[in-house]
Amino acid sequence: MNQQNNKKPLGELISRAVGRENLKFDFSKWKVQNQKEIQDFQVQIKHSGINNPVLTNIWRMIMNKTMTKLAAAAAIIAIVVVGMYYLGVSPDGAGVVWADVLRNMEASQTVTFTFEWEKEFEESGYWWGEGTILVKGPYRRTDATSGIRYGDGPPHEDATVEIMDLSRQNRFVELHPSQKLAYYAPDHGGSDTLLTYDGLKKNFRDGTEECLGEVEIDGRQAICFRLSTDDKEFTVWADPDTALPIRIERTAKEGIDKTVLSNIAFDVELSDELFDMTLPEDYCVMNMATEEFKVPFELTEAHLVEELTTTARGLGGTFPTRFGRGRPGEEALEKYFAETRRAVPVEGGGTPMLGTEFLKRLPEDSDWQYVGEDVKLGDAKKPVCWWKTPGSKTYRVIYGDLSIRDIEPGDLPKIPWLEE
Amino acid sequence: MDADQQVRKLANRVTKALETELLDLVLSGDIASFGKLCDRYYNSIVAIAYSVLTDHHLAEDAAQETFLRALKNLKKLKSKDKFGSWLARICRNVAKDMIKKELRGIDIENLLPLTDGGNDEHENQAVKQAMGRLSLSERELIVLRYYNSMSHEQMSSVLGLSKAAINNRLVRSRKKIAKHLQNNGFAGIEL
Repeated sequence: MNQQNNKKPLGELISRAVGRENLKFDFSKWKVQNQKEIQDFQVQIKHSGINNPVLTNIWRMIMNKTMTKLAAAAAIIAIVVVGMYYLGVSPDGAGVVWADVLRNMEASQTVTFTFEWEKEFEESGYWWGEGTILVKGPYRRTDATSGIRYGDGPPHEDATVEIMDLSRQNRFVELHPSQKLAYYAPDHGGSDTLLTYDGLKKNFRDGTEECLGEVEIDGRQAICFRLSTDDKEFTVWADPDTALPIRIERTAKEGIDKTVLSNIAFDVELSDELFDMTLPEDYCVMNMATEEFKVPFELTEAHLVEELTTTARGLGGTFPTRFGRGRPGEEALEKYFAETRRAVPVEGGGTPMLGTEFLKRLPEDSDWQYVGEDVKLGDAKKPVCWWKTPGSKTYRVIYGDLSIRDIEPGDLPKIPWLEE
Repeated sequence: MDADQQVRKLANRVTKALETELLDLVLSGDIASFGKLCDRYYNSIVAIAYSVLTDHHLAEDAAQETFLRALKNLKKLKSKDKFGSWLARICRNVAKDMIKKELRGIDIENLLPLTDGGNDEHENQAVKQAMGRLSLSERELIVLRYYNSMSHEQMSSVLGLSKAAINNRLVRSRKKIAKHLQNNGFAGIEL
C-alpha cells in the first residue's frame, strides 16, 4: 500500500469512509406505512387510563437555573491551589523550577485562598464573583458571592456555601442562606467548583510551562511562571524561598474569562467544623439525587402565588405558557421551552420551587388547570390557574392581578383550547 | 468542568425534560409528538443500526422498525429520562434480528461504502478494515461519532454512558484504528 505523504486527521478519514449528512426521517410516510399499528396504539392508550401529561420537573429546573448558573460561576474557579509543603529549594530562589511547585502541590494537605472571577457566557451572559476556598484532605469548602446578568437585564447576586467530601463518594451540600435553601447529594454530588482542585493540578501537569524569572508582585519578589494549555493561560508567581504560589491568574485564550487567586496560605489549621455537612433544620432541602424536596413548614396557596409572581417577573411581566400543565401541543411546548431559556433570575423572589411543590402535593382530584399563557401580571380580568380544594364544591381561581376568588364549576372562565 | 460545560449540562437537562414532556404527550395519544422524538433520534438510531448492518439502506429500514417497536412498547418504558438508550437497545435487537432473518453474512469490510479516487479508495478500505476489527460496541461508538458529526452529548443520550466514558472509549478505538492504518502503510495519521 502506498505511503501517504501528507498528514491526515483520522476523524476526517473515518467520516469519509462511513459518514453521511442530512439524514431526515420522513414521519408522514412512516405514519402512512404503519397506520394500523398507530391506530392500535391510540386505542390502547384510550382504554389504559393514561391521560394528560403529569407535572414535570421542567419548572423546577428553571427555578434551579439561578443556582446552576451561580454554581457554574464558582466552577470557573479552575485555579484552585493545592496546599503545598516546602520540600526544599535553594535559599535565594534561583533553583526554583516548575517541578518544585508541582511537587509541593501534590504533597499538600491544606490550603486557603481568596479568589475573584469574571466570565462571559452564551451570547449575553456575564458572571462575576469573589469568595474563599478551603481545602483540607478530601474536604472542600467555598464561601462565595456570585453575580449574574443577562444582556441589559438587572444583575442578580447570591451568597452560597458549598461543602464537599471526596472521601464519601462526593457527598455535597450547597447552602443559600438568604433563601434558607439547601441542595444536598448523599453521594455523587456535584459542585464542580470544588472539584476544580483536581482540575487545576491536571492543568498544571499537562500545560507547557515557561519561567519568566524573578519579578516583583504585590511589593515582593517572586519567580514567575507562565503555562499554557489548549484553551487557557496561567500565570503563577511563586515565593522564591518556599516554592509556593503566592498569586495565580488564569485567563481563557478566547473571550472574557479570568480568575485571580490571592492571599494563598498553606498548612493552616482548619477545624473539622468548617466542613460539617449537617443541614440546618429550618432550611428547605432538595435531595439532588431523588429531587425530593423537604419543606419544614406547611405549604399554602400563598407559596403558589409567590412562585407564579416570581416566574412572571422573570419573564418580563407575563405568566409562562405552562406551569405544570397548560395548553397542550407541540407549538405550546416549543414556546414554553423558549421561555425557559430567556427566564432571568428575580431579586427577592423568595425560596424557589415552593409553589411547584404545593402544586405537586395537591390531591389527584383537585382538577388543577393552568391557563396563564400570555396573561399579564396585574390583569384582574384574566385567570391564571384554578384548582379545587378537598371537599369543596367551588374552585380557587388565581387571576393575573394575583387575587384569588372562589368560583362555581359552571362559572369557570371559558378558555378556547380547553373547550376543544 | 467549566462554565460553558455547565451551560451545556443545563441545556441537556432542559432537553431531557422536554423529551419527558413529549413522551407524556405521546402517552396521551398525541402521535405528532412521537414524530418529534423520532426526528431527534433518527440520526443516532440509523448510526447504531449501521454499525451492526453496515449498509445505509438497511440501517434506515432498521430505524423505522425500531420506532414502530418503540411505539408499541412505549408503555413499558420505565424511565422516561432514558428514552434514548432504551431506543438504542431496541435498535440493536432490530438490527440483529434483520441479520438473522436475512441470514446475511455481513462483512463490514465489504459493505462499508466506497468512494471514487485512488488514494481515497485505499484509505477507505483501510479504515473499513480497521473498523471491522473493532468490537461491536467500539464500532458503534465510532460510527455514532462520525456518521453524522454527533456530539458527545447526543452520544451520551443514546448510549447511556457518561461523556468521560465515551471520550475514553473513543480515544481507545481511534488509537486502534490509527495503529491498523499505520501497520498498513499509512503514515502521517493524526489522532
